[in-house]
Amino acid sequence: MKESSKKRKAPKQAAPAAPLEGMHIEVLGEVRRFERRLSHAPEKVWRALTDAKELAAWFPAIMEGARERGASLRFVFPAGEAPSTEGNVSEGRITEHEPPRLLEYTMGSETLRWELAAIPEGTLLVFTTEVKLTSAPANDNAVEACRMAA
Amino acid sequence: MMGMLSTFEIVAEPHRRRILELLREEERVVGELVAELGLAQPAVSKHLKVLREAGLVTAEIDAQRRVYRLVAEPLRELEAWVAPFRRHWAKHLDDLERHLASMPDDPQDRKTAAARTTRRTQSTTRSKR
Repeated sequence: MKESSKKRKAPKQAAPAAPLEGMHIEVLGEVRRFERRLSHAPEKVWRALTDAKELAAWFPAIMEGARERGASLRFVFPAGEAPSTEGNVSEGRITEHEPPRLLEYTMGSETLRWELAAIPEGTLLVFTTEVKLTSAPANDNAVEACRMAA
Repeated sequence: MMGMLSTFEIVAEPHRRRILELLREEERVVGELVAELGLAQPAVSKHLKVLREAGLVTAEIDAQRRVYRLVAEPLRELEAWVAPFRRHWAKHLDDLERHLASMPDDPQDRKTAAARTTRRTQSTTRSKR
């Protein structure tokens, strides 16, 4: 099964190394895309992605909340894997929920999208993760001052 | 609360990062920072103004001198933003594949999952339709 699995990584956008004065924040978002061919039916893969008991076996956090579009989610991470400001918890929301084809939800500043397509051998899973800034630049003065000082 | 953009842009500048590092050790006055950075005082003052307006440092007047101190909170926000980049999704997907292999095809069969594992080849073949 391993040989048939495929990963693909989208090229990374603007690494945050150089001074960023004058740059817009959109370029700081990063999308990663993974593709896996699974020899399991979409319904089964869907259970692995949504059922709390199944998630516990592989997902990096405990996912709490109803499994329906618009539902609020709460992710509890094991110590050491969570963003420090949020403690061990990240908030999220289900934005797409179409069993067993499409699941999309936010987890903190990250958006996870799971697309399942039936193929002869089972399921083609396309997983994309995007990290976005959730808060707008609230302090324009600081940015302006930053540009002037550069 | 300040925006991430600001924190990010501000910390991207090497001299400002150096100032933050120095303030992490202890509070300083401008003269000490000028000496450490090897920049002209007006340049250092400009950087300090940016850091102050962004809430990354505070300045307190003490005997006619401004004493600068680090404020850690905005940096923690930055850390919260960076954290997802460290997640190893390729590894988690490997774990998902491994778990799928041990799951029964039929949700009713959970109890017999262990027994099923030995017959995995058969059930995998069956799921190919």
